[in-house]
Amino acid sequence: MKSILVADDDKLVRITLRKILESAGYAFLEAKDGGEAIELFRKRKPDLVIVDIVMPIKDGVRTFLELRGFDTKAKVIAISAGARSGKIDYLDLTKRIGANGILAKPFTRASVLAMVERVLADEKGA
Amino acid sequence: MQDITDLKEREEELRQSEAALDQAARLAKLAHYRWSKVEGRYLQLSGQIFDILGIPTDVPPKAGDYIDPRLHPDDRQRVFRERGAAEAGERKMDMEYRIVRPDGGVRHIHEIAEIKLGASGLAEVYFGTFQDVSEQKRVEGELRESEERHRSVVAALADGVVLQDRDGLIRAANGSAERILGLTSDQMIGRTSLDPRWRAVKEDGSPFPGEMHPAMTTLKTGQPCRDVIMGVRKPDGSLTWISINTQPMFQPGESRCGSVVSSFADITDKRRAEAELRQAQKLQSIGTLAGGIAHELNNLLVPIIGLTELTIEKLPERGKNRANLNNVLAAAERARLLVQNILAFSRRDKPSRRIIKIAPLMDEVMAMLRPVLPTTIDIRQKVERGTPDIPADAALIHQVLINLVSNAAAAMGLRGGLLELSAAGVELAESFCGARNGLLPGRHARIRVSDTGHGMDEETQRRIFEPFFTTKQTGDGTGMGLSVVHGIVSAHNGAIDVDSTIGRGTVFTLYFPAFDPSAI
Repeated sequence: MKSILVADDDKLVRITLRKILESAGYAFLEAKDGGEAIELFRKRKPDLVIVDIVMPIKDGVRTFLELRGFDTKAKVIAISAGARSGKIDYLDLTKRIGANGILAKPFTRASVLAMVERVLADEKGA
Repeated sequence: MQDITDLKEREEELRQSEAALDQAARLAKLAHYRWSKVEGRYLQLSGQIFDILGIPTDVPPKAGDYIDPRLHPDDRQRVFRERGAAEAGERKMDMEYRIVRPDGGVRHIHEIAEIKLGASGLAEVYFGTFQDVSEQKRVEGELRESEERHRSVVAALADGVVLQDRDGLIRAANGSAERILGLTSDQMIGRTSLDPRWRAVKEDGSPFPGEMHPAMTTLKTGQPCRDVIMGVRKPDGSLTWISINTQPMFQPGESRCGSVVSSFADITDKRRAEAELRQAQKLQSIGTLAGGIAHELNNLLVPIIGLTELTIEKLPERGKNRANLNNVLAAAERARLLVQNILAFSRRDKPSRRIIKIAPLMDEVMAMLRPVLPTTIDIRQKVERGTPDIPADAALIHQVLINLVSNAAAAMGLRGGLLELSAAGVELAESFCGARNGLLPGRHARIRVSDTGHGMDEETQRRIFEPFFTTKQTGDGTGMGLSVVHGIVSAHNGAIDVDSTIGRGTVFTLYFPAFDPSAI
């Protein structure tokens, strides 16, 4: 069974993703900020990380960079409800610096599962 | 024996009186004389003349002519002429001339004389006074110079300056006042602040009563007024905004303000630039706020959509609960789209630019709208030769035109009128662009959308570009239209002007930088 780590500070988002992913047969791990996500990733080595961009303590972009620093092949999907600073769209930025996929909130169950399957199926990793 | 005590006393009195007169004459630099024209000598001449002419006192006072040889060469002929005229005419002389002292110093002399004729009818004796008026002349000259200096300073001021007397009548105005108010000095002089032709308005657009004008306030109170803002209609109907300062002037010894000087700067351009900046800041802060709200809503929509979907799957195909939850999903989808629109507004991304031609774009817009506009509206469309292409996002400009044309049609309603859509090429000057944020001088395409509808008051004109501002009935419009138009035009480095008169109609003028092939 593939395991997926979800890092999002919004509890309702985590609950929703847990239900969606577990219903599709994935093992679910959760973290409520970037720091926790890094810890869990090192301990449990999940097959995929879904990371939110706007999080306290450690934002999604930094978390992504640290994950890749730890494991260059770490598979990461970035999600965001519209984080932006001036002209920079962080979701887009994360994609450009190498995230395997990006997904704008709100998303449908089908779109999440399709992207998860695609990224997990990609044997090359990053 | 004769008692001469009385006589002695009178002599003493006389002596004292003469001494006093002499002292007075010295102080006034005044000499008196009797001159015998026949004998060519003074019959009498007071000693004061030596001081005046700057010559030694040991010259016998009655010897020869002291004045003529010392006359300033430039005044000599005139003095002789005036003297001759006085002898032939009224036999009274009152003239000023200059003499040159032995040390080269020049003094101004004021001479007054009466001429007595002899038996032959010719001038025989002059009786008169010389007074050294050099000091008065110097002061007068300085005063004149100082006045001249002030006058040229006032004339050179960029600010308008107007002088009004105690009745509020304008007595003088400088060139800048003429330029700012669009009136000549002649048109202004004699007018008062109470004149209805000023059509002055306050900042909120309400009438500015004449008796409340700062100049009138200052005349009434004797106190200056500072930075009073007033809108004044020029004769051509355009509104000029001025900031007025007044200064009361008092006649020496009077406590009532005798006149008032008003100075005023033209702040029309400044006000426009400030308003645009405020507008831009307002839009920016609304954008930031909208962005924050959108972010929260997007997060909230995750469980609403995700959990509803999961729940639906567990419900029987045809059940009522499933239908209910499908409606929840439909509502969530609408919410998602709304949030997306708000985000798009808050971001106002740089539009993707292509070189577009204005004429076909206008045709497209009119082809779309003509069928839905009331037939009572007469539509004219004109693109002048030489209208430049513009680098723009065609879809956005399309949206702008549709918005403005629909507004124009709505303003005329079923009553109808004339709707004009025109375009031309214009060269914008620095001065024009300075007052419009983001606009740079140079060649531009100018697009105008005008209607003959109900028009807007100033307050409405000021606010139309604000998000959610609408004059339409609830439900008729979101109020997002013109703020989005403004946003789109700004994103193209363009500008939008509105000019409207109640009952006459409205003109929206858009400026877009022209495509410059040489810049590629």
